[in-house]
Amino acid sequence: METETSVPSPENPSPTRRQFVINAAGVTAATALGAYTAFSGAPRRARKGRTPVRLWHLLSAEWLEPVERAVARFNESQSRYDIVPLLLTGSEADSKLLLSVAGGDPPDVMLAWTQGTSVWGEGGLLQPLDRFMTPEEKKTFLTEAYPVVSKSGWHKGHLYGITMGFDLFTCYYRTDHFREAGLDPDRFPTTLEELVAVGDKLNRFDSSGKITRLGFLPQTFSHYVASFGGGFYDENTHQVTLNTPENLRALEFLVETRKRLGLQEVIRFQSGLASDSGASWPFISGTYSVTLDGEWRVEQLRRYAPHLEYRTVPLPPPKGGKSLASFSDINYLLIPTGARQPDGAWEFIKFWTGLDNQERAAEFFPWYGWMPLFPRSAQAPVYDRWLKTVPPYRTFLRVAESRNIVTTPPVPYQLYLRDRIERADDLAMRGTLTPRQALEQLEADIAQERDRRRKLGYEE
Amino acid sequence: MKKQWVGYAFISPWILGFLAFTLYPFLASLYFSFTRYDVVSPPHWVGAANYRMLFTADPLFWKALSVTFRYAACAVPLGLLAGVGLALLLNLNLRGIGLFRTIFYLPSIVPTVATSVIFLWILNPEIGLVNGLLRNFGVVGPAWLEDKAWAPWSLVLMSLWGVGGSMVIYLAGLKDIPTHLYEAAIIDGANSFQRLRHITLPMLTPVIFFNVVMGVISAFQYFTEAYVMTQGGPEDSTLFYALYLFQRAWRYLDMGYASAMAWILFLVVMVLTVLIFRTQRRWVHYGD
Repeated sequence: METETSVPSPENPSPTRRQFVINAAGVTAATALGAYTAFSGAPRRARKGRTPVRLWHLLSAEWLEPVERAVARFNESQSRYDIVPLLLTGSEADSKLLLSVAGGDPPDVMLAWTQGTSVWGEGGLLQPLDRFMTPEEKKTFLTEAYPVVSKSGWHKGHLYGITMGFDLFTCYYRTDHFREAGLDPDRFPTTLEELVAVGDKLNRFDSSGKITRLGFLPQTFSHYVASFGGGFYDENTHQVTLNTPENLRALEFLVETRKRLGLQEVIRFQSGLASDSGASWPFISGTYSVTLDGEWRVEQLRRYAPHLEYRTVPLPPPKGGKSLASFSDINYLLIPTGARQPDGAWEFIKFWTGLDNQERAAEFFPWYGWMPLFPRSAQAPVYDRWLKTVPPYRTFLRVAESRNIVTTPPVPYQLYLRDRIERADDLAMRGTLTPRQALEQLEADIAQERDRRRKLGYEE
Repeated sequence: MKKQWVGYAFISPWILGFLAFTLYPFLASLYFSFTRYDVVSPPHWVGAANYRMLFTADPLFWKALSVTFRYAACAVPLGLLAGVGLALLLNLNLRGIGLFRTIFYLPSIVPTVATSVIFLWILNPEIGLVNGLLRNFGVVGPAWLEDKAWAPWSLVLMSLWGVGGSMVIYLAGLKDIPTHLYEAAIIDGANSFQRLRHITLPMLTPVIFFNVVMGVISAFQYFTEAYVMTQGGPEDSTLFYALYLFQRAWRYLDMGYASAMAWILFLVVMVLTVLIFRTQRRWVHYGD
């Protein structure tokens, strides 16, 4: 059998050699690209002579720069620790923290969005922060912080997360829409029932009867329970409270209001709205006239719609309900189990939250448009100067003083509970179940979950 | 003997990877399924309690299983019909057929997350492409992903978007059918339907068999689209088994319980695969 072979020569290198050169160049380029990709996104190293303290956070986009400024302030303020921040994406953060703790290499401190500090605390994922506190710091925290701050993050007598930014919800309303509908923007309704009636006047429909502008539609069950005097947890008995007359009244009110517009019509209207974030918020485009939303919108409105005519007021209570009531979602600063520099992490937490100096920390919060932890921070000149540029924000500070604020209950199955509450809300809002049935099913679901956990040996 | 060791040495990276990242987690999860385990604390032996609780005290487990079974029962046959149908069309000897093959194959290589985000818009009841087209014919389209009755079917329909992957395999199977069989059939006077019924489909059955097995396995592992698009809603109508397993493991820190769920899933898929294998003697023709 004949075979063809090529004869290599210096002028005509063999295909094998040529191929080798091409491959080597390819591998070199790929390695360089890989190294660039890997190291360009890597956190910077700590400064020489300082102990690195690794901070994981989720604050991207407009919030990234303020975080880095706060970190720089801390690093300048002392010479022992160097905070090294690392931005995570929201979807991967929780599982990344879990795996890092399991793998023995967690960050020293993390700013998390989870509402599951009890789940994590119960699972041994977090270090109790109260152990780092001096008696004076603990006293300051418990007596001087806003009520929602001092009572959040606790589980079985230990503080597993300290608040760093908390959401409150108040009514935003468009004064131009009020005037256009012949309403006086200076006379905002004083009860929830009146507000719904005003909402009817602000609604707009097209020729086919489809909603084009929503005057006011109360939605999200958990955001309204507090104003009806309800909630999901009894702090005295430490019991979860679900199917209570107050909660039922809240859910019935929400469902009945929605029924007037048509359950399906509202679903369709809302699905057609643009994204709910930043400049795409439907309130800016005028698709909502009055809406219950969080404090971060104030800074966004200033940024994305500086000429928009709007005001904020606390949610008017229903007849017989509670004023200055709200739901609150909280960002927590955590020290994971196995953190190498928990002391450095705690120093940073104190600095950033203002636990060591409330006036000094006041400068950080306007950067993100966040609520400070302490009223004294809110009264600091630097914060007050910012407030003058965003007067609607003062409403949130008023609500922050209130004790009528509901948060996710601190039970070890709190994320399951939260998901089931949302489901009950969904079932009732879609008309699949009546509000009473939805709450009964919610209570049965949770009882079953508790029973399941008990049988598996989990602590209550 | 020496040659054998050299061979093992060459494949040792794969063997090590398999042992460390597949076999060990596989066996460890079996152990964890008999424990109460949250990843951080040491596992605590609870015997068969996780399995008992799943079968007797967890309605969401049954809900997730039923959602997944229904999806598999619809998406796999539909994918099969669409895949074979497209392959038959793209097997025609037409001008520019290569371009069509490329076009139909392209969607299957688009990342699932990107596809899901696009379909969120396509299926939007108000501003979506599908309902927009239906409106032109005076039809008010359903709320798709917003409606518990339509959401699972939306995902079944969406699964056809990636049918190009199996289509290419069917196409390869069609190209492999000896032409002399068709020539003989034509001489015997068989029309095109008879050729399809008695030559093409029987000769394609090994490929169909392969795609059915793979389709069933992937249908029971359905996760990404539901995670991105519906998060199990509305009203748990798209709470797929893998999604619920993920929630139990990573959201509720119930890793032992989730491991038990994973093993049940493994057994379900195993049983179904064995059943499909058992039936192959009746309908798969290997041309021997």
